[in-house]
Amino acid sequence: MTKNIKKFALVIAFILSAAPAMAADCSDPKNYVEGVKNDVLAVLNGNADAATKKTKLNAIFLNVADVNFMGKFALGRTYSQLTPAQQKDYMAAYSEYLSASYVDKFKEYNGQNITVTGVKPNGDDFSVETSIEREGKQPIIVTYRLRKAGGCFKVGDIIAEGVSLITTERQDFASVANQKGTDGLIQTLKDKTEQYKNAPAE
Amino acid sequence: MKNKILILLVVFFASFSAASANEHHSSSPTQPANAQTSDATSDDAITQADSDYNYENSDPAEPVNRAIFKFNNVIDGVLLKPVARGYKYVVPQWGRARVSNALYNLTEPVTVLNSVLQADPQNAFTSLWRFILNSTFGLLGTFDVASDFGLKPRQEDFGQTLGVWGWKDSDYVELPIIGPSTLRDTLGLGVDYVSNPFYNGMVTDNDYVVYGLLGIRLVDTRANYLEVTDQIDRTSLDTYATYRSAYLQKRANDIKNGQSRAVANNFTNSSPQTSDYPHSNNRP
Repeated sequence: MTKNIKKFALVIAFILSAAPAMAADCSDPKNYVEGVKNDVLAVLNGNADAATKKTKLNAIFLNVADVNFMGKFALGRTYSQLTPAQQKDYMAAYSEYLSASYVDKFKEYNGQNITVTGVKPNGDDFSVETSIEREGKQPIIVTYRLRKAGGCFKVGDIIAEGVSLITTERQDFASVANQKGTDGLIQTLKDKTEQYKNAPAE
Repeated sequence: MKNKILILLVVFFASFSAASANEHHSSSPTQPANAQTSDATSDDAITQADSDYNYENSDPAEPVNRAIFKFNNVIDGVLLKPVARGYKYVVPQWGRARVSNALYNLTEPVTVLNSVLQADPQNAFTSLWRFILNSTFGLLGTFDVASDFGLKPRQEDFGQTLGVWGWKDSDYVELPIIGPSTLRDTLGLGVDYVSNPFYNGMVTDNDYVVYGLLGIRLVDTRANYLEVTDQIDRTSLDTYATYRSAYLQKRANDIKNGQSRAVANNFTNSSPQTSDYPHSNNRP
């Protein structure tokens, strides 16, 4: 009997601990990031195989990242000059590229402690600062820029040690577009994604 | 000592000639359009928004820089990267951390000097005390005991000092072997080298020691950046443009002591009420 109660208590505890992770906190930017962090850590620390983890992280990433915003920002003014078909083509290619290149980073994770250290308003957005502790080294400061989207938040930029992901992409893409034109850029994005999928990080 | 100055001159000459090759063709940076338009829904608001990092992506000597970048990649591939990987393979993380700490400790005098030049007495004293505590109790800097006392490191160099003095944006320069830099930071690198008692002959005039330290520093730095460069090399479309952008952003952030506009300044630990800020969640 007591065994069953213990089991029951364990199940309840499990549900309670999992519940806050499931519903994103849309009222407070700091809690939102904490929630995403817990979701990601739950996957990372789980016993699933690498492929399953990747699928799960990909789902979280696409749910959390404001891909629409990031893609448009990364292409800059050129985006407005594209035909609707090209825009669609580009956004699809960008989304694949972004998730393929970013999500694979999880393989580098090995138990570092991540703390949310602060938040500040940034125009209409919020910057949420996190710190990744490293053994015997200074922590890495990663700032997430949260945008309000659909009654909740989405991540519009990831800034590591002062280097913004979408700003770097904008410079990168602009350079390729200058050399190969916009269609060349879209093709390069697709090629890179394909290449990356075939030869992911060890 | 003469050798060292000669090397410095060569580095200087290489970088300046690289930059002046196309000097009158100064590229104009994108003009800041006001990013915070009221209509957050429109594509134009996003695509024409300037980055929060309003640095000038000025690279008048791009063809020369790209050539040096290619050269650097070859050297990196056959020499620096394999050595760094070997170092990482042979020496465990604990040992590498001791080396990184000791090398960092040798830069503290430069940080003290530049904090003073930047009229930042707080960091000057922090750095000075870090140097004293870590050099002694930290066993020649191998252990960062000062951090445990709340004296956190913040490296300052003469390139940053020039930035604080007003030279915010500088033409990009790819230095042989050393890699990404700017005119400002190349000058800064020279001054740092000359002003560092461990490298300028003040502490030791033994060239083997000085070059040995510089060599270890090169390997240590390369090893520390392996993960970052692997990631960039794998994912970026034009690695040269990506490194250039990342370097310029990082330096702009360093000059502002990590307070770039998009990196939060005035962080508070309490979350502000979201309702205090205008809503703009009607995007597609």
